[in-house]
Amino acid sequence: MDAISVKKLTKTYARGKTALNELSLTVKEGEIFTLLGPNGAGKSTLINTLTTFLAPTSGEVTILGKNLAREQTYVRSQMACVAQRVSIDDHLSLQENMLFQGRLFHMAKADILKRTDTLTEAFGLKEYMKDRVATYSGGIKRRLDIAMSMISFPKILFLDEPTVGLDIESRQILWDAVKRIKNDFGTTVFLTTHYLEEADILSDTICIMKEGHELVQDTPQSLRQYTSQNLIRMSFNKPDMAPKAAKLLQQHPLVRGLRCEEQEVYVQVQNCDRDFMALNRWLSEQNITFSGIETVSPSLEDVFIAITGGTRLESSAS
Amino acid sequence: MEALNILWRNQKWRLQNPATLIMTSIQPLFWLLLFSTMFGSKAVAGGGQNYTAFSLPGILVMLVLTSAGISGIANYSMKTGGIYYRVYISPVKRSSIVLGHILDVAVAAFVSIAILSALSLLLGATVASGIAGVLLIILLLVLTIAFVAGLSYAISFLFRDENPFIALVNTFVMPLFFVSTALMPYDQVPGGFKIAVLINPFTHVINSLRNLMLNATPDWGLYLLAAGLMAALTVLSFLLAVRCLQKDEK
Repeated sequence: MDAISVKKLTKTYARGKTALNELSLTVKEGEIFTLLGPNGAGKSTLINTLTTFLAPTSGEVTILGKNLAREQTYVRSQMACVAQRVSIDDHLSLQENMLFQGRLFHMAKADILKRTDTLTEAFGLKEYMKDRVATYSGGIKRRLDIAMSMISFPKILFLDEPTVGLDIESRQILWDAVKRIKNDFGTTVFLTTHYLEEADILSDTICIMKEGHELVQDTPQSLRQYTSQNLIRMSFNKPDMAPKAAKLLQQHPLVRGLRCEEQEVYVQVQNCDRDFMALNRWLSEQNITFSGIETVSPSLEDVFIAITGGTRLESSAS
Repeated sequence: MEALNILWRNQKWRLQNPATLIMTSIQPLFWLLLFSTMFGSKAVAGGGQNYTAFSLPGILVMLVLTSAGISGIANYSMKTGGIYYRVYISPVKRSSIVLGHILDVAVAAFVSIAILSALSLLLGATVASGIAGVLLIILLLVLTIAFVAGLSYAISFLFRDENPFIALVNTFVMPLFFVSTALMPYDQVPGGFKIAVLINPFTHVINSLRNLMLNATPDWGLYLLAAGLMAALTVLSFLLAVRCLQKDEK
C-alpha cells in the first residue's frame, strides 16, 4: 500500500494565486521521500495540504488508503509534522512538552513517559532533560521538535525544511535522526528541502517540483541518468579565473550549459568524448590557464538544473 | 480530557507569568476603590446600601469584558510559533480547542474575581442572598466569561495581526460598561440612553448580580433572564468560534 497518493492536486488561494497545479505523486510506505524545489515551488503548501491544515481546491489525496477529505480525523491520528517554525513550548519542560503532545493524540501518561524515554535516548536528548527548554540551542530544539512529533507512533512524519538555519554539525546529527526514524521506527518520512546534498544523502525517492507541479519522481541514482554523462569539469588555479572562463565558455557553440563553483567550471556538452578534446584545445588557444580538465558524473544539482530548465536552488547545504 | 490538556498547557504559562493576572486585576481594583471612595457616603444606589456592594457587579462585568474580551489575542502568539499548527493538525476536536481556551480564560478571570471580592469584603460588601447566592453569582459569571471568551476567540480570526483586534476590543469594552446599569440603577439612567442600556446584554447580568448581592431573596425572573441570555449567547459564540477555527487558513 502507498503511504501517500496524490492525484491532480490543485490549490488556489483566496487571492487567486495557484500554489499547486495538478500535482501528482506517490510515496511508498517506509521510505524517505524528498520533495525538492526552489522557494515558491509549492513545497510548504503541499505539506500544509497533506497535513489537513489547508483544504485542496481540487484533486484527490489518499493517505494510508484513506481519503484525506473524508477521513480527516483518522489521517490526523496517523501522521505528525515538524513545521519550519519550531513548535515546542519554552514554558514547558522537555517531559511536559512530550506529555502535551502525547495527550493531543489521546495517549495515556504511562505510555507517553515510556515513549519519551525511548525517543530521548534515540535522539540524544537524555542529557538535556533537566535543562530549561528555553536555554536549548536551535539544533537541540529542532531535535526535540522531531522527538515530540514521534511520540504518537506516527506512520508518516512530515519534515518541512528541518535543517534550515542549522550549522553543519547539527545538520548531520539531524540527518542521522531522520535515518533512524526510517530504520528503527519504520516511519515513512516525507521531507522537503532545498538542500541537494540533504536530498542525495537521505532519500529513497526524490520528487523535483517547480511552480506547483511535479517535474520528475525517481531514485537519486536514476535521476542522474536524466543528464547522461556529458559533463566536463575544468579546474583553475586562481579564484578569479573560473568566472572569467565561464563567461567566455558561454559563447562557445559546443557548450549547452554550465555552472561555476569557486575555482571550477562544470560544462554540459552534447558528446563528452568528442567535445572534451575540442574544449581542451580551445582553452589553450584562448590562453586560459587551467590546472585540470576531466569528464565527470552529474551531481544532483546538475540533474536539478537540467530538469528545472536552469532554475538554481537558493543555497547549498555546506 | 482534550480541553483539559489545553487548559493545563495554558495554565503552566500563566503560573510562570503571574504579572498578566495582576495587570488584569489592577484596572477593576482601581475602579472599585475609586467608586467606593467617591460615592460611598452618598448612597446613590437608593435605600442607603453599601456602594461597594452596589458597584461590585458592574466592576466584575468590566473585569470579564477586559480579561475575556482580549483573550483572543492568545491566538496570535500561538500562531507566531508553530504550536498553533501542531495543535491544529492533531486529532483533537476543534470544539475541545475552543473549550480549552474558554476554561483557561475562566480560571484566570476567577483569580481576579477572587481578589476583587476579597477587597470588597474588606470594604463592607456582603452577599445578602448567602451561599446559594454566591453559587448563582459564580454560575452567571462563568456563562458571561464563556460568551465573551468565545466571541473574542472568534473575532481573532477576522484579523491577520493583533493591532486591529486590540483596537476593536477597546472600542467596545468601555461603552458596554458605561452604557449599562454598572454605575447607576436603570431608573436613574438619562432617558435617551435607556434603550441602549436595555439592549446591552450585560445590563441584565449586572442587574441580576446586584439583586443577588443586595437582596436576601433572589429575583428569579431577573436571574433566569440574565442566565438564559448568557447561555444562549455562549452557545452562539462557541459555535461561531469552532466554525472560525475550522475555516481558518482553508
